[in-house]
Amino acid sequence: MNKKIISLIGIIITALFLTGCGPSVKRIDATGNEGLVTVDEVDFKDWQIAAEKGINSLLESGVLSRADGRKTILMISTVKNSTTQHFNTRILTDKIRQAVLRSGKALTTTAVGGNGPDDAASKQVRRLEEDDMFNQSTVQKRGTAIAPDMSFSGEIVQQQSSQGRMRETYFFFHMAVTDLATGLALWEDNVEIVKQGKKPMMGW
Amino acid sequence: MNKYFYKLKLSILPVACTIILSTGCSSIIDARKQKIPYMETYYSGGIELAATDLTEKSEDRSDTGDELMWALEAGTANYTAGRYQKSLSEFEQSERLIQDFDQRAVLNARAAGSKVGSALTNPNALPYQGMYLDRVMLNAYKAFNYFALNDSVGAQVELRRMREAQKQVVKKFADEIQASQKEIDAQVRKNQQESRSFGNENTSVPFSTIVKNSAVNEAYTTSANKANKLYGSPANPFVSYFSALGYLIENNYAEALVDFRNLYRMNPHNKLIQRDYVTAATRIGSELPMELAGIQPFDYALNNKIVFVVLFNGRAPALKQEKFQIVLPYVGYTGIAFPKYEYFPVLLPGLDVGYRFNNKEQTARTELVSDFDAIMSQEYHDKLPSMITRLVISTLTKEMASYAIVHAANQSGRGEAQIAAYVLTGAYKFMFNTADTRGWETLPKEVQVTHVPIPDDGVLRVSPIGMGGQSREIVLKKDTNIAIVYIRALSANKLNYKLIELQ
Repeated sequence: MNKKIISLIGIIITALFLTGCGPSVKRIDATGNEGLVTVDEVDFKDWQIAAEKGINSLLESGVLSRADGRKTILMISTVKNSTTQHFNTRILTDKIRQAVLRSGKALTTTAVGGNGPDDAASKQVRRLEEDDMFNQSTVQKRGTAIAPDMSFSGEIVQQQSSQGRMRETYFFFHMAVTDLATGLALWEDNVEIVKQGKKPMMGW
Repeated sequence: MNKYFYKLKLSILPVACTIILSTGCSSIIDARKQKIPYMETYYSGGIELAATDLTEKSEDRSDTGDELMWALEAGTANYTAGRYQKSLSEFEQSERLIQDFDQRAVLNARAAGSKVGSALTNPNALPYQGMYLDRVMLNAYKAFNYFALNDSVGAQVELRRMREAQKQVVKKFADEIQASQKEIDAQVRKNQQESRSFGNENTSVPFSTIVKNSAVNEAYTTSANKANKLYGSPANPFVSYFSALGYLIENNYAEALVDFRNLYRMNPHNKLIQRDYVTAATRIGSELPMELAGIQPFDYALNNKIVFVVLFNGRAPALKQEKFQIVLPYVGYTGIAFPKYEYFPVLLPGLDVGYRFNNKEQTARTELVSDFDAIMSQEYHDKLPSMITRLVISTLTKEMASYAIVHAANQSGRGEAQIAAYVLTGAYKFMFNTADTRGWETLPKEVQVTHVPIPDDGVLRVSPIGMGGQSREIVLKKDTNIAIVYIRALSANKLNYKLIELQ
């Protein structure tokens, strides 16, 4: 009897040990509230919050609507990374671009961008004019691409502070839409995200 | 009772051996000695070989207490050798380790284990967590790597991390000195408790007594003389200069001015800093201190069509093992190993930069911006009292343990036990009397800087002062807006050039 109990305990301990040591990987819902939360970094949820608030504010502002009925052409300029983290601000700009397109209030251009064209093809195909391999009547003509009316730009700023065991990071997302004819800012908004973390008193 | 006590104390030895295996080699062979062949290769100009060997060593020492030290050395050597991606990965590993140390729980099992190891062996059993200078220079080197890879955005991220690290080390400095004093007090109380079972001699040895020892006194006064009190705290003026340069690249004169103002406070007599400060203030219409009223600003912009020449000159001081003799209660004369800085001479006085601007031949000379001897000596000097006191107290703890073993063996009346006790405790003390000489030895002795407007013909002639005829021509691209010429002087005639051009 005793032997059985000892064996059972042994099996349970081994099982617990193996479970504890195995890798724990799972898929999570990208739209949910799961996911890692770090103090110093912009996590995926932070990008979502910043983009969602920015998009809502931009679309509600009405600046994208034109009196002549034509759709505004928006170019995505630069979102400057002024933080201590290496990341690609495209995570934010792509969400904005897609939301603007979905809203039907404006069109976005990929032929020009703050960091160069998002898609270099518009320029490349016009070089085919010099290539006799192509039927010239099918080659895109010069002077047909539509120039943007407005540009979207921004900056992400980070400020860190700590006191005792507590650390705090403040992310400030600034976004703006500029009228390219006048250079005037038509819309501006900020999204603020503050994250705190406490160093544990005891641990490994 | 005595036999039991003897067995208990003797069991410490295998525990110590286990701990040593899980820490770093430095517990037995001091780090300085381990690094001699690597440093000889590096400073004699064999940078490719040094980079390869140090990378191998860094990989070999991963997951030990010395990992950070080797990763930092490998990072610098790879940067010098132009292997920027490899350099970045070594520095990223270093940064991860430092972050891990910083984010550990206040009371954590790993630190407790290392402290037990350290008490049983020596401070090398504690993982190397980097000097204050290491923490800021790590990001400075990462920024250089990103610039070299033509990734300005990445470089700016590292410059921001470097500024943050500089802010943190200044804050951390005071906390650390306070924490180490608390640890010393606790160990003194523990020793005094153990002392009661032998004869209750006073086991407290204050630094005021230890510093009377000639070897300790020499280390203490030399570091005091070398330390530049003007800098205050462990702030590094090069970090402020590099930070200003980063802001100028972003056309942010206002923030660059803050750095120049701080630099001026740290180094008020430096002509280059005075003129940079005046130039930045004049450009944005900011007020200047009265004493700078007579200083003329540069007649060219600091953020446009300019070349910064940065000289990383010579070899930073390196810790070496010394021993001092001290009389301890119960033990009498004892030799204790401790680390002391060895300083290296300035082999190259500086650089002359010749260029043609506005159809006139002109020359600029590099000026000292940051003296690493002074910064490292400052940290060493401020930490020396607690470091030496801790060593003495820890030695006393080990000696009392040895005394207890020998005493118990004698009382047991067994001859072989007495011999074994003497041999083992003697070997144990000899083996672990090793100073913690870990540090970053590929850092420079000093940083000198100058800047000139982009020459009419885009050609710079850089010549080491006093090395007539050894001029090097650097040709800039036509569309370059800001250039950084980084020169690593490994010795007077081993110069490694890198050109970073930003459009």
